[in-house]
Amino acid sequence: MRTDKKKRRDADRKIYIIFAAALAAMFIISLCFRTAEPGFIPAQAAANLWSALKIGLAELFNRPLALDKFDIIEKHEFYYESVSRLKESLVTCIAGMAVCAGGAAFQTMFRNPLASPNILGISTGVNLGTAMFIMLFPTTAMGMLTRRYIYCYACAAVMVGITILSGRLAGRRLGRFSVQDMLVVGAIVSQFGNVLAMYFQFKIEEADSTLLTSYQELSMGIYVMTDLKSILIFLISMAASILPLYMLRYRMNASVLDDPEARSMGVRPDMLRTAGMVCGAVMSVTALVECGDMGIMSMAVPPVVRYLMKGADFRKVLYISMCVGGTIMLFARSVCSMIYVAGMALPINFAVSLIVLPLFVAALSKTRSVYA
Amino acid sequence: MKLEINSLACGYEKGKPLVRDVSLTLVNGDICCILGRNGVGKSTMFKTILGLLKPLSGKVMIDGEDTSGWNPEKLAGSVAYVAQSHTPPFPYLVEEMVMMSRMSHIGVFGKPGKKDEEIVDSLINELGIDYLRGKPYTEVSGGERQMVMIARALAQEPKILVLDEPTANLDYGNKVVVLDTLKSMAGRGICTIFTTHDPEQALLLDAKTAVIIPGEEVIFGDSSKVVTEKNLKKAYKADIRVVEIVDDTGHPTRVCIPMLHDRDEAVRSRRM
Amino acid sequence: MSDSDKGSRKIKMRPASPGGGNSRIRPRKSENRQAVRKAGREQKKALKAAETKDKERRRKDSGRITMRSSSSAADVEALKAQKAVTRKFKRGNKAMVILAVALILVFLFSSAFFVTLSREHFYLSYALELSRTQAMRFFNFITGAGAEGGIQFITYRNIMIVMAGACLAASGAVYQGTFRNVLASPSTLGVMSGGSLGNILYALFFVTITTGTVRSSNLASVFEQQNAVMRNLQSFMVLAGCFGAVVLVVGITLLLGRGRIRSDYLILTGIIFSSLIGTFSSMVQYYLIEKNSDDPRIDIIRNLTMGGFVNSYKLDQVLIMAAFLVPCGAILIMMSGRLDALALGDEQARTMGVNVRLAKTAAIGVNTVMTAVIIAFCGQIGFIGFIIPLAARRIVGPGFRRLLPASMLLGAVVLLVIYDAAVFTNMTGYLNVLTSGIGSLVMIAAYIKGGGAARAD
Repeated sequence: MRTDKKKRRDADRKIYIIFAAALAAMFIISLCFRTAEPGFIPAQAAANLWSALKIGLAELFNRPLALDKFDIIEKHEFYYESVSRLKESLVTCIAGMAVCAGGAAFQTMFRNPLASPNILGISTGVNLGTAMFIMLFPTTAMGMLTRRYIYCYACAAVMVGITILSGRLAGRRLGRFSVQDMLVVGAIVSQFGNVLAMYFQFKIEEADSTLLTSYQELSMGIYVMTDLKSILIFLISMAASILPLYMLRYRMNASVLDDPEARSMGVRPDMLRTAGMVCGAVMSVTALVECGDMGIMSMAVPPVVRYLMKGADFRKVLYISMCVGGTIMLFARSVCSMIYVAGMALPINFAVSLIVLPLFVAALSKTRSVYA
Repeated sequence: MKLEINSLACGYEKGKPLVRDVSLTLVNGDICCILGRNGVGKSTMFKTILGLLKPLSGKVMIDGEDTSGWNPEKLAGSVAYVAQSHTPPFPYLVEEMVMMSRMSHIGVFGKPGKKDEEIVDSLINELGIDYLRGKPYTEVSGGERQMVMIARALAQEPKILVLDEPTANLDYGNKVVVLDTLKSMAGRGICTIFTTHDPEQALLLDAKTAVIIPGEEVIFGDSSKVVTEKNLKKAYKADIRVVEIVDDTGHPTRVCIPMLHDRDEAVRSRRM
Repeated sequence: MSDSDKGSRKIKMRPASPGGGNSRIRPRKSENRQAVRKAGREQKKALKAAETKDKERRRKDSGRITMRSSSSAADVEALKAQKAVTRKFKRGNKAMVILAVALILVFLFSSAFFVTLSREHFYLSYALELSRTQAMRFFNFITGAGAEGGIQFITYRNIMIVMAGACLAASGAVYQGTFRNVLASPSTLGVMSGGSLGNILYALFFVTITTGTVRSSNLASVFEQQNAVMRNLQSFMVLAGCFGAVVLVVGITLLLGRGRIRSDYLILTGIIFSSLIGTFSSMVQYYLIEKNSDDPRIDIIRNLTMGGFVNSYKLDQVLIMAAFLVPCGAILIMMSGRLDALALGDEQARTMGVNVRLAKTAAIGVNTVMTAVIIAFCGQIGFIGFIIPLAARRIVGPGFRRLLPASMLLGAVVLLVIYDAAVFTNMTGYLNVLTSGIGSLVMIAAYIKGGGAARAD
């Protein structure tokens, strides 16, 4: 029995290592293969990045190396390209991880394998926010990043507020908080929001069709903002939201039990749920604003992960979903940047949905246990 | 460990108590059975003991301290709860389920360590469910699920164990297994409180019994004194005979036998 | 029963021997037997009394159909419930009559009075003046006097709106009954998205851009720019898209539910499918706009997605639409009984003698055809099929015999009213937005009031 347990723990550790290695490998691949031109080999990429690191540190500490900066840059081909690829890959990877983590958290919190942050209307809110932002500030749309964030957060908050409020009001008759209420209201709100976003889209297009391009680029993830300011905001929000979820990762398991049982174990399920929802929502909005709509990834990846692993401990599901999410996003980005349709790169969210959908269907259809 | 309930009134709204004026005292190793019809307030009383509802009047005291001021974490150190039946939406393994209640000792941001695993291991062995290790909780039979839940509650190292209808939906063999387990709780020094729809279980376990009758005071005492034909008729509105059977070794056991009538006749006679 | 205040009786245990001779608990013989006999005698007396009473009553009431006057509380309750139900249904009948009258009134009203107001001239006197002229023309048209040819187009448009509203609502009711889920409707099941996918594929592959084609702002003029073959091809592809969507969504649901259609998986698949198609559609528009922002194909796609009606429908278009929709509606009404049985569940329906597979396929097929026709002519109009059946069910009850006609009437009235609102606010080309907006607000409010998921059946 002791050895049994040891065996299982080693098996677990092996699985973690495999997934993390896959993520790392995909990261390196996405750094190297990005456009239709033959990608450069890892060694060259590594050399570029190493010199970038040296230059960056030197500038930070005002060392004399900074003066030779441009000589060093000229020596390495594709220097800027490497750096921007690194930034893009980092952002994409973290965004993918965050979205899947949010999905896993929501599914555990709401005890429903089909839940995701989108049920609260978050992706719709972000789209609407982007559309409104572009309509109101047509000339400086791409530049005003913080304002765009504010708009998107505001719209997402409005949507979430409507959904939660309506769910609570509806559930008040029965005296309890029902997931199904929120799902239904969320579906209605999302559908309406989507139609409204499309309407704004057409209005934008009537006004000026180049604006529509910027809107679509932002919302479909063709263009990732990689200036320092946006990356800083992104990393800070991600850290602020992923960290609490990571720390609570064992306690989240208690949401699977009914509320009286959880409370009798000393856990406060309502506070757990609030924390989880806030973290999940912030994570998702940040990821969506930065990388565009990611389709059904947040809903589809955790059930696939649960199907592949034994047991359903939230810690395991979290780790592996994050790895899988990052891997898929990086893969989609490299693949899509290499496919050219009508002279332009393919937007990634469609590709992500297409990749994830068959896995999701396969996992759900083969699941043995009875879902509530 | 002493659990005292003094003149407790339980309910959801102020001024409308469902259960009035309950007073009882339980110590280590006691088994207490709560009988009553559906909707009479059994789960309300439970929720009040568990701290999920505030008592409308009266006090619940554990070792002399009033529990209404306790936060859930403190209460979890003394009281554990086993719900009636539960299908989780995800296929958690049996040992993962048992480990969950160690959260009461781990802390908000912690995760289980070696000591927790040892406690869980020994519990699983003691309760005889070690053959279920590694199986998803959702693929296990009803009786085994109940045993896993009891193991989970015990992993909390409580002083009081509260169970809501532990033998409902179980086949007869599994009912016996659960009743055996409840009996052994007394040997562990844990005070057990459970509700049931079968008054015979109170007699079999020789438990202290509380009968909740709507509109009247709660009757509490030894099972031999409380489970009588008169009380059962008041509680369930049915004619139930209580018979004591003495076997060859002289050991007496009490059983309940309902008297069946022709229902059609009863309805017709009422109509007139 | 005998002495109950003593706790119990002491009996020596005997193991029960199989077959005969069970250890019987024998109470003291004499006392109990007397009691039993006495009870038996009393019971016999009571029975006899009851019988004679019955006989007397029957003699009195022979020939008269009356309720049992000597009723206990239970009977009175049953009576009250019966009366309440008949009252409700009588109210349902009244409601249908009111709806029919309302439909006619709103129809006339919108033909006569509602005019498009441009943004500069949006004030009351102008509106009144225009309405007056329009009303005069309408009056002349109806009475046959005057040669004003302009008004009949508005009437044709209103006829199309009525048909569209009625059929959308009816198909929503049928979907809800067949899949036994409140959220089922042509828009949530992805049928409408399938139609728009067909439209997109048509626009991408079959529309040739010549220098002469001009961007237009409404569906009908786009229609007219294509020749007859193209028009039929577009309708055909829309129809194919709708059927394809239904097959795909139902197929995936069967796969997910392992042979059974689970209604939550169905709605989920429908929503995922619609969002995928939506993404695809934005992608296609993105590319088209990037290449050439004056591409008329954009309008073909947009008009279908946004839904709308125009003033210049011709008689032949109306007739084509009616040729499809009227028979479909009639078929659905004829199937009301079978739909009722289906709504109770597959096994129940089978025991009632309904061929479940055939009925379901027929219902879904007819629905899809209706939805496809409506999309081809009027674009996507969401939420009507969602809300109207729910409201109609509250008024006339769930029986399909009343529900279908009631939801058709209600749907027509509501769509007319919404269209009039669109005329006022100049959003006639974006009907989908209006219906979705109003629809979701109503839906959420009704959901909250109705107490949520518990009452959603």
